[in-house]
Amino acid sequence: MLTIRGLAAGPLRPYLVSTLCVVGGFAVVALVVAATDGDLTVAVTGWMHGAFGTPYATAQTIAYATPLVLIALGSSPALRAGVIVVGAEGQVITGAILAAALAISPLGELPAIVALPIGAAGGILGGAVWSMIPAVPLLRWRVNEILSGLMANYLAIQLLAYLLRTSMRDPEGHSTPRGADLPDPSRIPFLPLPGRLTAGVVVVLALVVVGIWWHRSRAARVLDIFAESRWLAGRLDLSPARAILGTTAVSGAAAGLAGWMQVAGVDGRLTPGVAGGIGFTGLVVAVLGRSRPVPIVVAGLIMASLTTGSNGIQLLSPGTPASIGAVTQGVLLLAVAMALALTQRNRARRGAADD
Amino acid sequence: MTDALALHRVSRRFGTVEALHEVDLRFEPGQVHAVLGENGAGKTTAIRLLAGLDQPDSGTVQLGDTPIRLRSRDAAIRRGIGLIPQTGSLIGELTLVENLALTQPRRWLRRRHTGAALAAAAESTGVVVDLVTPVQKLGRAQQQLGELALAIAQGARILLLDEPTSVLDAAEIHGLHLRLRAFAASGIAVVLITHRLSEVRAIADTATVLSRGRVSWSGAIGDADDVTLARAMVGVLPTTVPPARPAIADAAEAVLSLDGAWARTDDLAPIKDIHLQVRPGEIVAVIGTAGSGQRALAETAAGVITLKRGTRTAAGTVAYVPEDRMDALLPGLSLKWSAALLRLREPRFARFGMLRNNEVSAFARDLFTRFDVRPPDPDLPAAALSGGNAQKLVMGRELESAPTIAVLHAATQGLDLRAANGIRTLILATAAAGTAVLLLSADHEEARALADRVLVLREGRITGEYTAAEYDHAVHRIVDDRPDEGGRAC
Repeated sequence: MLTIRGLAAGPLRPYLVSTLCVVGGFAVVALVVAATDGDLTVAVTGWMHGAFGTPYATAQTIAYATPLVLIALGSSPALRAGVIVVGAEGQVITGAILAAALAISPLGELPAIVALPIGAAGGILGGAVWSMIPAVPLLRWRVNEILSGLMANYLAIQLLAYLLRTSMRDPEGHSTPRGADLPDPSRIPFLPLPGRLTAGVVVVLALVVVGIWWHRSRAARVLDIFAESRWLAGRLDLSPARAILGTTAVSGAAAGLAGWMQVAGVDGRLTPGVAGGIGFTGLVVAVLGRSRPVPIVVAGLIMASLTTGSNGIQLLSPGTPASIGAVTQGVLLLAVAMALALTQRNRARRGAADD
Repeated sequence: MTDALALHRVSRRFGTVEALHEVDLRFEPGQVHAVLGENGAGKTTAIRLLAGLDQPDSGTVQLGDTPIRLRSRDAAIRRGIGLIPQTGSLIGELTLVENLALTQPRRWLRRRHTGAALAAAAESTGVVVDLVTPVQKLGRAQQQLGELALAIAQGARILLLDEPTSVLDAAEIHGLHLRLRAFAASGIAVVLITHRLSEVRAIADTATVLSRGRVSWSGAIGDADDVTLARAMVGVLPTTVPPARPAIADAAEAVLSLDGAWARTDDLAPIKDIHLQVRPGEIVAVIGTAGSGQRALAETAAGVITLKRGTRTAAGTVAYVPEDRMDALLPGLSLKWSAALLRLREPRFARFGMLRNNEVSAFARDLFTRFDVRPPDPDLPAAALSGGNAQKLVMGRELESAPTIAVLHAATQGLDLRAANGIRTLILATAAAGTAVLLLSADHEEARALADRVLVLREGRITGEYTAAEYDHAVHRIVDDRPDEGGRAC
């Protein structure tokens, strides 16, 4: 008892609370499985099989995790600066639109060594520009960035729908709205592995390394300071304009890059479902990973495995619905949000007690 | 006749800190009793026990000679124990009558009755106070008198006042002292928590000195001189020699100047048409109470807020110690980041762009030692520091890098003698090294001890300017007007 108490009061307390919350979350999921007459061991086995059971499944999980990790990494500077960026979904779409537009233009026919960077730059630009829709009003008029970010997502969705029915519609014609196939030089090559892993994974891995470095950099610490006090950050020569516009642009660029990877890698053409919720799931990954690079990778893989693994659950335990993956994702987010709230409240209370 | 309120062999412990150790206190009716002590000596803990806000670990609270248990603030109010906390406890949007109604135990109240009770209480004690204006529109002194009237209307026979004069100006302090003497004369036990010796001299009959949670002196105030009391509070005080300061050349160019400055912050006390200049090596004090625009002036001078009208010129680096120390710290991060904040851009704190936590910790530890910040643990959350230690940390951090200009708001407010002495020496040394110091304070003693020039701020305007010598006379004139014995400025 004494040791548990000591542990609970010590510096490990946040980790203990987080672990308990996540364990509690999985307990809730187990209850759901039991309530739908599923067998828990069968469900877990099925999930493991579906997510990591075969080389193909593993590759699928990694492929699904890649854009999530990228979006989460990109949003962590903004989150550390206290800017809540929820516009990734729309930025994925605008990044994909610009990347696809460049790829089906004559530029896309250039050799791959030129066409690929052009496509990537298009994605980055498209996402970054769209991210300014919430950022500029936040800076200039203190408009709530969550509301305007969500609005910008709807704008992007409608813009995509409009373009796919008009100027960017596949000239060969299909009953469903979709864009033209991207020319080969503009498509991200697949890795020589089973499954549908593209070279985009390598790019994201490199960005994870950059993220690990940046996480411990002075610039990151100054953003923490900005989140606590703008005046003190100003004394370190960080203006609100640079902090807000800069971090939001980075988050938009990452989301746009993810959009490029979707359109030029997995899909091969612009489709209405190009974002498919990865913007929001990426934000969940950032929250789960508490804006730290390595936990973000782990959280990304877990979130991806919940999607890929639910197919495996269906296979072995037909009674359990496939949406158990989505349920688990929701419960997990709730558990982590609770853990964050609990640790923060404790910190505040400890501070007040010593006053 | 009221019974005496007492603590009998009371101990109270918070974690590893023993806030009170077998403390005996006794407050007789009809007397003004001062409880003296440094920051953290246990004064506030004792008051919280007496007011029913906290319970002792061992020992008893006694009324007369009967032990009582005060389980809540309400229980203490029913026993006639009134509390006027340091920061004020009234709800700003409500009038005094409504504030009183809020504290009544009954569900159904008649406004007329409540109002009449409060008016009667105010009249019986001679407190002249506006009962029907929302409290936040009253001045700080009026609010405090209002709280006194409220406590009397609740039937208080014992009044506990926690640092009541820390936000008042000289005339207001004088008024409050007269009022407290009148309360004592009517048979109420008045308990005054303070760390100002001069205030104790001015109105107290008896005093108890707490030091590190124990009673270190107790008796009638006439029996002790200042040195005895000071020694009981802090032990032997080191005699400090103020550092020699070079004279300021009249021709010296001002490094900070405000010209017709108008500005406002969120505290509804704007500044209007302020002209002031501070030259290198000079200490200029601006005296003014809460609500006179001090914060707006401080933030304007420090460049935190922008002017509405007028100009501000500042040459070089500007250090700023805000009134609320937490504003200058990073409550969510560990303490070392608050300590090293201003120097974080220095190359020694980073390698390959990554911060070196050990270097930052070492720097923080060194800063803590130099400025006596306790506990000297760089990994503590900044919110865990007590007010005095937070002040020492902010002051040290801001002044150690020899800024061109230093704007210091309430530099020693709430600090005990030893810490205040340390801070004053630091300010003098900083000015001697050529920093232009703008000091904003409500404390005349502090202005007199430090400043070369004193400006008086009232309702956002500068209404008087004195040299150091003239100001001495001006303060004494206020004090000499006092009818009561003692007669020293606070």
